[in-house]
Amino acid sequence: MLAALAVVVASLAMAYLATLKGVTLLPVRVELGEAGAYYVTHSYVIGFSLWVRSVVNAVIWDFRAVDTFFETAVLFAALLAALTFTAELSGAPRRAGKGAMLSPVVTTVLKLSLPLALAVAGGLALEGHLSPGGGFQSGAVVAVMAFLFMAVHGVSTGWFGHVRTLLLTRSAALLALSVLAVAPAIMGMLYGLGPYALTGRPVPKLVVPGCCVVPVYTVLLNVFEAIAVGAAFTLVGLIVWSSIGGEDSE
Amino acid sequence: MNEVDLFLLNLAMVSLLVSMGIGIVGVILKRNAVKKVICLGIVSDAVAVLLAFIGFRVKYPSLPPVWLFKEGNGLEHALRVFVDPLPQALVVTSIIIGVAFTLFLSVAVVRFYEDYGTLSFERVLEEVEGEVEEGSE
Repeated sequence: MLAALAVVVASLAMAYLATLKGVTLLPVRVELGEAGAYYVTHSYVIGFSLWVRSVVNAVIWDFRAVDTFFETAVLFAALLAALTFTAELSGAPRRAGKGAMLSPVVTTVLKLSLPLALAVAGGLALEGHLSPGGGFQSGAVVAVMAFLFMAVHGVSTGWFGHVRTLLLTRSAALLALSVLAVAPAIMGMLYGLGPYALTGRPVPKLVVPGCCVVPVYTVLLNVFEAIAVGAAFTLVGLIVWSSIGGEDSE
Repeated sequence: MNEVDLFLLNLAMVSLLVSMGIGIVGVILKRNAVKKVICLGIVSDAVAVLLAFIGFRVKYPSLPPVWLFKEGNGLEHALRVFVDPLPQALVVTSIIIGVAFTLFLSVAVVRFYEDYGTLSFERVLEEVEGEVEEGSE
């Protein structure tokens, strides 16, 4: 306790000392850099632009989309590595785990907050191009709610039929992501627009009259990434939760 | 940039560095494996906030880089006011990889606990070294 107070006072003192001497510890700038200005301009303004309102989402899913593609690959490689620790899985859970005898307060709060959290996740995925959020954040929210559900209600034998469904969902979403990655190149070659890959510019946009322009490509990328990430995390959680054994694993 | 803003920015940087220091010290010195994983999460969160902070523009008002207004007459205003979006995009990638890595580490810790019955690496090392010494004598 005293150490924490000492650390807080010491950091305040250091910041004040730096201010007295006029030293700037954090390297901030006043003008936008060249790359930032390019991304801000070409995401919503110039004619052949993306029509994506959130510049960070435009950077992730279009200007630096290969980065995101391989980062998704790294994510799934880490999940595969985590699954090698559960090697004694034989296709059926070794124990029918019951949730602990939790009070009605916990179950009611979970019952109230689960649909709300899923609605938030849907909003994050579908509006990733309009506000901060995007595909992965939505998938993470879905996975966290699934983990909470498994923690409160336990993993019983009936859950294991869901493994195949989750596997199929995850694989279908990943396949859709790869197809979407290649589609602009094919469309560019068909319509003579040049070889683009993983970018939404040659893809035709949906113009809703009176409202707005919807960038279909970016929305689909966000949605499929959310489905893939949510299904994969839930799958790993289900397998790990049902394979950690009690007394019958010794 | 007046003194209050300079103090606040310096305070942000110092507190982030202190968080990183606490996290690294915690990873080394804590005995419980779960607490080590938590301290690793503290380090990666502090690094992510620091990276996102580097793109801040010290020119008020400054807005997050989201086009909330009409595009035609907004470009000069946007370039004057938007915060740099590039470090934020790099931080998103880094956070995702951090989440996957934390999941992998957690499954490894669970497996470790199942195999050895304890969450302390030091105790298991001492037992193993004791067995090695007994075996070689």
